[in-house]
Amino acid sequence: MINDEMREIFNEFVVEAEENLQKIEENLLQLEKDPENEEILNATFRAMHTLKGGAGFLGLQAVVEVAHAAEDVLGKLRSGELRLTPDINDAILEAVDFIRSALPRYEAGEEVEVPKDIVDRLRALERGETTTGTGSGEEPSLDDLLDRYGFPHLKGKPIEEVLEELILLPPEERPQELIEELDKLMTGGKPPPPPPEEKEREAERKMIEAVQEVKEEAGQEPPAEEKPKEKKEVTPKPEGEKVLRIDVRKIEDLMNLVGELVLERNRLLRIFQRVQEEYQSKTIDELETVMSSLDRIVGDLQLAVMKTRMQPVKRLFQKFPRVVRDLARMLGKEVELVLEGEDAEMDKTVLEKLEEPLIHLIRNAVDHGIEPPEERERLGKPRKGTVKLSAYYHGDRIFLEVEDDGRGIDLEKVKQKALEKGLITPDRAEKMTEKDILFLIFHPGFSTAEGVSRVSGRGVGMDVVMNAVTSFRGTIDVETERGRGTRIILSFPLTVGIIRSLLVAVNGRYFAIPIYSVLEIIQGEDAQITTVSGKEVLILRDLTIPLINLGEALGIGSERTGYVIVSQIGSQKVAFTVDDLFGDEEVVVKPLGKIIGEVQGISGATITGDGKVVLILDLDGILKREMSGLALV
Amino acid sequence: MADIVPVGEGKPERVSTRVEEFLGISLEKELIGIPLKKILTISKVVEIVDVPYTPSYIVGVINLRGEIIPVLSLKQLLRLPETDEPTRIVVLDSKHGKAGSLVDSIVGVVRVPLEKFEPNPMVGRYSEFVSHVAQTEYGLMEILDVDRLMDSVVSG
Repeated sequence: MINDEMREIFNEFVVEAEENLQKIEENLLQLEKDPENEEILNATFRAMHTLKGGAGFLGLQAVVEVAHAAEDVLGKLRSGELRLTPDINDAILEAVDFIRSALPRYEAGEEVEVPKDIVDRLRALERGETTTGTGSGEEPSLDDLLDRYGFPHLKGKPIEEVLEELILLPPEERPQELIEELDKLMTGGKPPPPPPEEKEREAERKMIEAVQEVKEEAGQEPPAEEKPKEKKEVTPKPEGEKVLRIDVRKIEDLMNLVGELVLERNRLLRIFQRVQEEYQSKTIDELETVMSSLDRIVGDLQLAVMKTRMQPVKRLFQKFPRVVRDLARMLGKEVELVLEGEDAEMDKTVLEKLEEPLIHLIRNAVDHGIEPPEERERLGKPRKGTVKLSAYYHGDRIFLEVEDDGRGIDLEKVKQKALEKGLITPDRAEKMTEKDILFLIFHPGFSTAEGVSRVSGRGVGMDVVMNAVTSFRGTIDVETERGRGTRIILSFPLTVGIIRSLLVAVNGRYFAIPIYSVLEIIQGEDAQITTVSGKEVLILRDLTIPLINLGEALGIGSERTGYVIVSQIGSQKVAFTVDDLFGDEEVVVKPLGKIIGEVQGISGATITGDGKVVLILDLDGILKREMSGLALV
Repeated sequence: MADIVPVGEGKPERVSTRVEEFLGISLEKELIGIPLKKILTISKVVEIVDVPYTPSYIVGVINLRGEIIPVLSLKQLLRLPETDEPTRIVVLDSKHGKAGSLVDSIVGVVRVPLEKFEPNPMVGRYSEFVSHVAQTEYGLMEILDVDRLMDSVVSG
């Protein structure tokens, strides 16, 4: 139990421990490729030692024992008494997972028992025994495990599907211990419980074979190639990096204050302009100099505060080597994950929301992209597939790419599937360009066929990725070449806090429409509007685009159709009518407040130079409401 | 009140003086007390921008010194009629963040000794948000349970 005096120390310990765990995990994955690297071994040992020390001080007995056992194994690896095997790696990773899961339990004031199986396994390995089992004699059955960890709905599925299902869960729900247990079930000496159907039995046998194959591979001498490069990457950073931890709330307060300051500056500038028009004097000229430097400083200050919310994408990327490793082991594939541009920074809020979509993209790359090793060899490709995850800046946007050198997307297949599902008509299919066809994979109805077999009700498809990306004003693009691979490119504005928006009026009320989604604007009288089955559409050149009356959609009515705004929403073009248009402006996005929460169709609000509140519309959300026939509340 | 004899283990020479402070507000002539520690600020009724797609008890949002604050209709939440014109916005702090509430007028700070608290005798209507009532110098005051009210707003 953590008492109040210890709470602060405990919190610090947790932050530090999480960093150490992350470091250990990264190092272990690195050591898998380069088991002789002393530098990494030493760093890993030290990290585990620090962890143990901190836990000892706080009396976190379970953590101490596990860390101690792991440290002893690492010690023997360091002294050369033991050689790193996948088994040892697994056991230490298991220890890492346990410690990671124990911390929040301590924090919640729970008692944490020493996990005897983990400690025993580490101790056995330390003595040089090559056991893969848990150490405790009895292997629980798959169904038992699922029951125990609260996933009874997965019962009766082949173990590989269960594992895949679990790995795809969002990280906070992912039962790492269960995954480890299942891993053990598959690799361990005892055969898994007989599944009811022959088909499943076969799948399982294949799975076990595949996994064993991978294990044998991993046991071999690592290839010497690429070693120097990797060594360079893991050179520990100079200690004492100048980093200060700040509560996010403090930064938000700062953002608000700067927001106010910007507004006051704008007012001041306007008043000054009037003064300048009305009077002329030397003093006013002098004031102008001060005003312009004040203007610049406030602008810089605003940017500087925005930047404090930026974090390196490394924080996100560092989670993926483990995901790829586990997935590749499970699927019997050989995959190398290459990370690039980890120091690029992006807004914290976006970063946090991107984990799941990226996991999905990476999983697609490993599962559907990369071929099995044998097939790759036949094709004259290296056995080991490569998935590259990179980040870079271009203009005022940051780009994230997931690239694989696998088999690429079969456009013909995509087209067939879309036809079968009735997403497109044969007539339309004829006219589609390659890009159009590719974008079908983002259609909500497209990936459900695979989705249905996966339980837990999560339709994990590309449309989910698309939604997550567009909700942060991001874009998505796909490039693919048969037999060569696929590249998915995401891009986001650097600062989500400020967006360039079109100011419009509807029935006397002002709204802001983010400009990134606007394709073109047409004068009301020039727009060719007609109806198709009672619904208005815009005829633009040879396209027929659904037309939404923004005033009606918002439930406030409209006076006239002054302009038609054509927007790109995902892969779809949609037109909106507005009464009036007032040009574009950079606006600072503010949330509507927790009480209101997220409102589909409204992405936030901004305060204009004269202090008025203007709502920022989310056209994607409005379209969704219109399509689902969601009436106004 | 001499006829009230303090009970309890407190020292007998000191009559229990624990009092709580409330901001008394008037809503459709009813006196409602909001715990003073929950009040951030009181503002005149500024321009409230309606937010489409939200329930009607969310009146809209206002700009309060550069911050966007949601404004609620306390009358609707308490199922009161809406005949009197609100003249003030009371900004409350709750565990769900800040929220403004439209009120007809401010009565003032009301100090209520703890022993004056009575459980809310009413059942139904808005009684779930009124935790207690108390007799005060301004008449019977209904004491608002701000967090409970906000809980129900957030859960929709």
